[in-house]
Amino acid sequence: MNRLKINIKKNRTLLLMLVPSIIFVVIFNYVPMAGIVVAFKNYNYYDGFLKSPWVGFDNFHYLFVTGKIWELTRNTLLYNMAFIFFGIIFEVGFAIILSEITGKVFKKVTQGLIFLPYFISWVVVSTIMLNIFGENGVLNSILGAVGIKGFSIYQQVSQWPLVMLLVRLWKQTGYGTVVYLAAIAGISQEMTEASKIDGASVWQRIRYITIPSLKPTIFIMTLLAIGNIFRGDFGMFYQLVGSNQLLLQSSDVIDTYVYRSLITTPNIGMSTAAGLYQSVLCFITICTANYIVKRFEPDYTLF
Amino acid sequence: MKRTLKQLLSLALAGVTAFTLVGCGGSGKEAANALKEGADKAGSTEIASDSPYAGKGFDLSKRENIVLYVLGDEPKDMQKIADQANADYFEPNLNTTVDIKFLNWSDYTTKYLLLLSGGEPVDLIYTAAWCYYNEEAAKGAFVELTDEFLKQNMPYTQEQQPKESWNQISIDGKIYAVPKAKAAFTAYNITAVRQDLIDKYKLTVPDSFDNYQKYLEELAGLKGETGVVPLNTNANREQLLTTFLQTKGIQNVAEGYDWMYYNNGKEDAPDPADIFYFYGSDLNLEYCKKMSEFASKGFWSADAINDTTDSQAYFENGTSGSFIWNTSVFQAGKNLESANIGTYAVYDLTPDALRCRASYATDAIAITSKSKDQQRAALALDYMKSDVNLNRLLLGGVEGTHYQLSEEGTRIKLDGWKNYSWNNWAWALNREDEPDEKGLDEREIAITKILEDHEYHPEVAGFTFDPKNVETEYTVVKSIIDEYKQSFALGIYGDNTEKEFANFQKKLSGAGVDKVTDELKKQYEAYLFRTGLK
Repeated sequence: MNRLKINIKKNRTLLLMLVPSIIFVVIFNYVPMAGIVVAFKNYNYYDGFLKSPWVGFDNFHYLFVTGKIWELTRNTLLYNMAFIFFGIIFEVGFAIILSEITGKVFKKVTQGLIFLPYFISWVVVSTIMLNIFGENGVLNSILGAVGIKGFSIYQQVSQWPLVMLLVRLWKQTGYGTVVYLAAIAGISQEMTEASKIDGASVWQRIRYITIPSLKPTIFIMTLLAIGNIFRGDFGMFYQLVGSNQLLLQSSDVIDTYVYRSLITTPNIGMSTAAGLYQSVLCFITICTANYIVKRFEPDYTLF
Repeated sequence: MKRTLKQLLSLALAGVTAFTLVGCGGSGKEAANALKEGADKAGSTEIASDSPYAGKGFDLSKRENIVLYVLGDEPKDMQKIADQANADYFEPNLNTTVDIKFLNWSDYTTKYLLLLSGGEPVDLIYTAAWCYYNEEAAKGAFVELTDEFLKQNMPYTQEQQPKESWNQISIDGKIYAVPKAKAAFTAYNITAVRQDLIDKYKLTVPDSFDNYQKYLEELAGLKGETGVVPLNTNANREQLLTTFLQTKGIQNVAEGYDWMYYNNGKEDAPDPADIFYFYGSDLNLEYCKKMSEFASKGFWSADAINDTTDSQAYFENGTSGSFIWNTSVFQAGKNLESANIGTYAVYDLTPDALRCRASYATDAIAITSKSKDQQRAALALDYMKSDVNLNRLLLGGVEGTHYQLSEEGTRIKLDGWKNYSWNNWAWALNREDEPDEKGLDEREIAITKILEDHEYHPEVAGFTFDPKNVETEYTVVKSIIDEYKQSFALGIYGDNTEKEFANFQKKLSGAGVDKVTDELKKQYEAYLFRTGLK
């Protein structure tokens, strides 16, 4: 007890600096968690959060009534797995390439161009896509001029998931690259210089110094992404797929389904239920993933 | 280098601080003024002796602020009008100020719900069958307006309001909102086409649905030459559905819900057995096949489903050969002409179809249950609806600036109209004696006349459906419809339409659509008994 007091006294400045973040997390992450009760209630304004009648699992029923939820969960999961897996490869790859480029101007311009799409909203991305790759788009006009007719990206039903993946990589790679670039900048220069003196080639340096040094960052970033693996990127799916049912067959995710179900007759209980379903699945996955990492690489875990 | 940066930074910071201070000073002064004003007037607890609410036993000694939320974009002159309404009417006669706030079209769906569930003060709010009336009333967001409450707190409205309007707004015999007093027509679509192209290429005149198809076919053939897509449409508007239903003589049972019957030219309420749900029905299949035929003929782009540009804009910028919608097609046509791209004509593709006066319940205002002073909110609403001058001020602005009344009692647009157009937001407030507009385009007058000749009053007009007992099933049904609707409407399945439709039907029945239909029929039968139609 005394030790604790001494510790607090000793570190009071540091603890004080921690207070704002703790308050933030409590207010925005912990207090709203009490709202979970709404998922089990028939919410009405008269009785409010606490007194509305309990309805058990009734609010979850709409997710399971047609069995659609399995398909949605599968889509969400597979898409996110692909995004995470290829995301790492591209982000780490570009970060390494950028760090090896020596021309300063060329490097900055490239980095800027890669980062730029991150700032474009999905609404704009979908318009750009339609006007370049659509039936009346630029690409189709050019192809038409050289005699190839009738290409539209929206008609490629079986390849659509690949299109989604490519657009996603185009838009998100820049952001991830910055994180890994920062990590690379943190690698001790002595190691690199030593290896140079020993005659290591560029490939050898990347293989034996850069990638192993990036490992902790890669693990942490992946674990963080896995924490959201059952949440679809609503903006992306809603804007790119829209109401095209042919594409929806392979690209309907939990979030777009909930949106369609509840936008006209909103029910707070039902939307909370869907959110809770996603949270529980995410919670299980992150715990499992973290457990596995802990067994093999105990230093790289989140908790 | 570093020093210059520092200097620049501190300069910028100083600028920002100064700006903030000035900003604060401004609003602080305003607030102080408002306070002072409030204090001045709070002294006089009496309302004017000629107030319509004087001597009726209301306790109006305390100044109240009533917040009214409506939908739409705020007109430019709104604040001026609101100030005038407060100064001339609400303050002297009701010791009240009314604050009118707008929920924009772009995000009203989310804000509306947050408004009612959150802590924001709101006393009166716009509502309608399509704007959460049933859902929110079921959740208890609105005050129930009993006969007694109306008699006591809305004395004039209770008297003036058409009797059937109360029936139409009630859910299971209970009233939760005050509807408008003048019923407009229900959705009826007419078609704007390119007159210049018809003249130039001698195209078929689209005066019926069949001729319209010919017109589209001819335009499709000319696409290489004109660059005009016959019907440049997209997933935002289902342009052809209403017109298609008009050709079939279809009447909706309840507005905002897709249960229908064939009216056979009669006003009689249908037998419950004749009511069917549109989605998944034979009629729906016929429509889907027709649309896929249209799509295969190239009436619209194969990617229309992923397009989000507004189709009205396509007609206005000359890339669409037609635009089907309600009377807003005239505005689209005018914009086309003022851009000097072409000329337009408007046709009614279904000249024999009957046109239904909508239920009064399509626009209403409710008193929220969280309102701190429900009586005062009711009185303010009563005043807005019952006083002709106040009502006209709110609907159309200042006479002489925004509009002018002619001798025959019709209204004429004045220059100020663009800052406050007639009935831009007060749809639920309009009175039976609202003046009609004069001096419209000839084409518009001609169409209006045709439409008015085909007016009819179906007996079902007052029925509303409350899906709360079958909420789970209805939610799933709607998500399935939403998944398929636009895809069928734009015919993207081509030859697979029938196969996909069978899938669609199977999913609908799996979701329990029959249970929802049974519930609707049950409520409908109860309605027939209640109103004495059976």
